[in-house]
This record gives sequence, structure tokens and C-alpha cells, in this order.
Amino acid sequence: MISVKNLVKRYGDLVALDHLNLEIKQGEIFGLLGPNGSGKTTAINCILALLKFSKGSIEVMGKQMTPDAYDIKQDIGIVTQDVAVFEELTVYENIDYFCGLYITDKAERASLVEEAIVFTGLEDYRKFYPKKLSGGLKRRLNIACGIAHKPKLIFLDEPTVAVDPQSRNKILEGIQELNKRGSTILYTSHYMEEVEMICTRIAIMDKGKVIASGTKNELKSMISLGEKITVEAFGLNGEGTDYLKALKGVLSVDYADNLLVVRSQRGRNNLVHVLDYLKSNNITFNKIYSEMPTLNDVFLEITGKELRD
Amino acid sequence: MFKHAFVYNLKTILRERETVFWSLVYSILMATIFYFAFGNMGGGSKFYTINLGVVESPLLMEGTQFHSVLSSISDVDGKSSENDLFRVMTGNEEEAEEWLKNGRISGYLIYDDGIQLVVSWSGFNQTIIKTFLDEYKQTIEIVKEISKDNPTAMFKTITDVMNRRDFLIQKEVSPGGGDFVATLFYALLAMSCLIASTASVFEITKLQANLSTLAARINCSPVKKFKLFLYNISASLFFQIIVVLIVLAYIMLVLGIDFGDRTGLIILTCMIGTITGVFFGTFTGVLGKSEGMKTAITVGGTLLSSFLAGLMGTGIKYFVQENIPIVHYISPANLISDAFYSLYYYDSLNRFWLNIAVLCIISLVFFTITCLVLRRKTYASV
Repeated sequence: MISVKNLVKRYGDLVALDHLNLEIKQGEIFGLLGPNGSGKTTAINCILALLKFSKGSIEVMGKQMTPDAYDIKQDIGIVTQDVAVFEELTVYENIDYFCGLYITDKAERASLVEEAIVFTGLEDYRKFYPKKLSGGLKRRLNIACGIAHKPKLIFLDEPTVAVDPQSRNKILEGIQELNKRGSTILYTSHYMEEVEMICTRIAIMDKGKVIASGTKNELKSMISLGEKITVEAFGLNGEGTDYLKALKGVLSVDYADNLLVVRSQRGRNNLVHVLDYLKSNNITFNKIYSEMPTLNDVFLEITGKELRD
Repeated sequence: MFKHAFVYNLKTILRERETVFWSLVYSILMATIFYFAFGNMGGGSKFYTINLGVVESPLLMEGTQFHSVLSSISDVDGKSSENDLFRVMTGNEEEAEEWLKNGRISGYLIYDDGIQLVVSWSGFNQTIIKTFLDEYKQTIEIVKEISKDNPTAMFKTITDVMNRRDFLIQKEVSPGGGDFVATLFYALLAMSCLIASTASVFEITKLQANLSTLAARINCSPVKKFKLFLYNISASLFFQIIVVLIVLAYIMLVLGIDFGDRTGLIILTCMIGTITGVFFGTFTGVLGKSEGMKTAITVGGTLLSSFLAGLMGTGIKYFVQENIPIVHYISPANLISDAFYSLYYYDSLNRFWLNIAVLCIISLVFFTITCLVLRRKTYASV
């Protein structure tokens, strides 16, 4: 569906995209994950032929993507990072306006607009102006404007930024539903939980490059970390941390603010050993969490920094 | 597609309170203020008699040729008639200077190696006195030359001169008569036309992907940007022309300001003026990315142009005309205002069409530059 090869985009001396390669297949929800400034939006803008790029090639639906590729644009929907609607038009009018740029038949458009309103749960807000809507509802309107014409390929650029949890869940469910209806989705976010939840394949970006890509399990299997144990423990001393570090397969032990974090290699399970040690040394402990590695751990291990840095 | 884009763009314009205020309400408010502040200054189409000082001198006083000519069109003895062009006040030079300072006279004549005119500033009255004096001097020169070179033609020359004087007195100035205050309203209407520029800046913001996210979204649609520009600008032009015509109707019908009888050409001037205003806005809109700078250029440009066209006093218009003639010929507000002026004061339409032609050229230049910049399809940054 999308093929990006060796894409380079420079802003003066800054390399925003550094030989970026992406292959997105039909029917996927493809996640572009990376911290702010990693080049996700720049990549999307290049794919959409809004931005000039220095080098590389972009194909969408098997054709070279250019600003005049109106046949390709006909099948594309875009949901921008910032809400892009007319403040002077009502919810219904906004959706109708954008849908009208793709669908000229009035009756067909009316039915599609209605469908988009129901899909995004905006039935009660048809005649509302955007300024009267909450942040979450505005985001839903932004999505409705991008998907009303039922595009085959949808670009969703951080659609859940500054959205309340209820609206966020509604949006994420909606994206999965759009995918089930047959749309291929390119989803960018810096929220790893969202990407893990809905994306079938993920590319992690940093400094304009894809540093890893695959399914979430493939990505997690790329790193040595297997299990992360977090225990709220009181009075652990240096001798204790040294003992835990010496356990087989332990990668690291951190203890600060009464929180003990033990990371173990993939395939090793040290929870029982950690608890045995705490019990036998009369160290009081309360909450215990055992987590499998997250995409943040993948990012951390590859780049040496947190995804949210 | 045209109807879809046109209708929605018209809706957005009509619902933008700022646009409606600056385009319509502001112009009507200004017209009302002008009417109450200056409405009774013009006195319809009649010219007031101009107070003219004459410094006592044997060469200017009774019995001289000049005195005879001046007497024929002036009140020199306190017996005024409605046809008097000047009311003559005679005194010595100090007195004349004093009257000029106090504003009792518009200027005075003194004999100093020929008849000289002294004025303190250049305005409408001063222009009339100067025209009279120049004409007098020119006629005397002609008569002198002919009496010297061809005395047999003297009779015909004097008849011609007499006829010319008759022509000057009896000829109607224009089909609609004259009104001094109208000049202020011409400038105001010119401002109304040009203020359309502020709204059309946003038409560009809606289309240039590097200026707004909304435009980026629109650029991703399968509609050609240039087509959408034409559709949107049609709605903008439609709105602005209606607004200017409402302002014109308010000034003419409610305030009773006389613009003359050439209604069709007055409406044409409003339309061409508004087109110039709208394309001035689109031209500014494509100049750069800074919203503040673009607003400053459009608002500043409109107000400056209107100011130079006489919005704050007709003296400025004449000052510009005499001292910076290039501004007079390229300033859109001045061209619009001068088109109204020409329709009102002149029988001939030559000057009117010249103004309209220059306005069309300016609009075409703005439109062409806008189109050239809009042709750009990808951006260095968005």
C-alpha cells in the first residue's frame, strides 16, 4: 500500500528523515512510534506530497506519489495532529464540506456524512460549532472529517493527543473498526500503549530513522529483557541488592524510594527468588508487579533513553 | 463542486464576525460619523463666494483693466449676488497678511513685478483663485501679442475671449452638480472596497498547506488547489461586492450624499474597487508565513491608501496630487475615489476610464502573483 525507500528530508543542517524505509501492506494498522521530534509527522507529510524531500522515493497504492496524483488522493483520508476544521461551520457542515471534496453526489454524501456522525458518536452534536465541543469531541469531529468518504488508506497523526480516556478508547475502537471495514491505517503516536493495543505492525522511529520494526512480539523479542519485577520494599541495603544482582539471569537491580526493580533476561523467571530473599531477610514488602517488556523497554534498550524523553 | 465550495465558503465568511464588522459595520459607522461631523459643510452643489484680499496699489485699483475683470465676477462694493465668485477685501499688505492668518480670506493679490497670489496653503479655494489669475494673465498676453503682430485680428480675438468667459460662467460643471463633502465619502467608499483585502488574506491561509493544518488537509484532497482558490475567491468577491453596495446605498439613500446620476458606472467602480481589494489581500496572503505581518500590510495599506485619497481631509488628496503624483496614479484608494470624482465633476468619461483601467491592471498584477505563488504544490516545511 505504501512503499518508502531511502527517504531523506533536511531542514537546513538538521536531518529530519535519514534514509527512512517503510513498507506498509494492505489491511494493516501500521504504527509509527517515536518520541516527539522523531520525524513521524514529517514522514507522513512527505508521503502525502505536502513536503519536498531531498532524496528517496515514495509509492502509494503502487504509484509514484506526487502533488498531482489526484487518483491516489481520492482514496486517502487524513486525520491531522491538530484539529483541522472550520470554526464557523457546524459539526454536520464540516463533515459535509470535507466529504464533498471527494464525493460530488449529494445523496451519497448525505448518507456517508450520517454514517460518519454515527461512527464517531457525534449524533447529539450535529448542529454544534466546534468551539462548543470538548477536546475529545473535537478530535472525534477531526476524525469524522477525515474518514467520511470511506478512504482505502487513512493517515492518523497522533489523533488522541490531549483527549480524555473515554474519548480515547472510543477513538481507538473506531480505528480498529475502520480497519475491519477494509481501510489500511498508518497510525502515528508517542503513546506506546495505544500502538501496542491496536497496531498489527510497528516501526519505532528515532532521529528520523526506523530503529526497529515488526509485530509487537517481534520487537520485544529483539531485546534481552524478559521480565521486569517491581516490589515496594522497605529497608533493603546494599548487601541485598548485590545478592539479587548475583541471581542467575538478572540484568539489573535498582532500588530507590522504597521501590526495587529487578530486570531479568528473556527466558529467566526470578520472581520467586526475589520474594524468598526478602522474606528470609525479614524485609517488609507490599506491592509486587511482574511485567513483560514494553515497547518503551525496546526503545530504552536500543537508544538508551526513555520513549517519553 | 463549485456550488459546494462557494456555498460553504460564503457561510464561513458570513459567520466570521470580524469580517462582517470590518467590511460592513465599520464602513457604515464611519459614514455616519462623517455625515454628522461634516455633513453640513458642503452646501450641496453651490460654490461659496471666496473671500479674496487685494493689496491697494495703483496698478490693481479702480480704473485698471484688472479691476474691471475682477469686478465682473466679484462682490467689490458690498452688493453681493449669487453669481459672485469672489468677495474682494481691499487693504494694505499688513492687513491682507493679517486676514490671511485669521482665515478671513483664502489668499490675496499683490502687485510686485506683475500680479502675484499669496496663499497660506493649497486647497480648493486657492486653486480657484490661481486658475482665475492664470487665465487673466494668459488672456492679457494673448491680446498683447495679437495687437502687436496682427492688429486686424483684434476684434475676433476679443470676441473669442468674451465667448470663453461666457462659457466659463454658464457651463454646468457636471451632470450631477458638485459637492465638496462628497470627496470624503468617495475616500470612505474606496476604503470599504479595499478593506475586503483583510478577509481575503484568510482565503489564502485556507489553501496554503504551509500556513495552516486546515489547508494541509484540503491539499490532500483530490481537488486542484487553483480551482478551489477560484471557487473560494468567488464567494469572497460576491460577499464583499454586496457589502460595498450596501454601504453605497446607505451613503446615497440614507445619508443623502449625492454621487451624481451615473449609477451604473458608480456600481461598476465599486465592483472593480472591491476586486482590487480582494486581490490585494490574496497577494498579501501569499507573501510569507507571518499572520501578523500580513494583517499589518493589508490594514496599513488600506488605511494609508485611503488617507492619501482624502479620508481624513481633502487637503491631503490635493497635496499628494501636487507633490507625489506617482502615488496619485497608483494608490488604489485614490484611483477609486478619483473615479467617483470624475463621474461627478466631469462630463467626459476619459479620466474615469483611465482610473478603471489602472485599477484593472493593478488587480491583474495582484491576481497573477497570487496564482504564481499558489502554483507551488510542495513546501519546504508545513
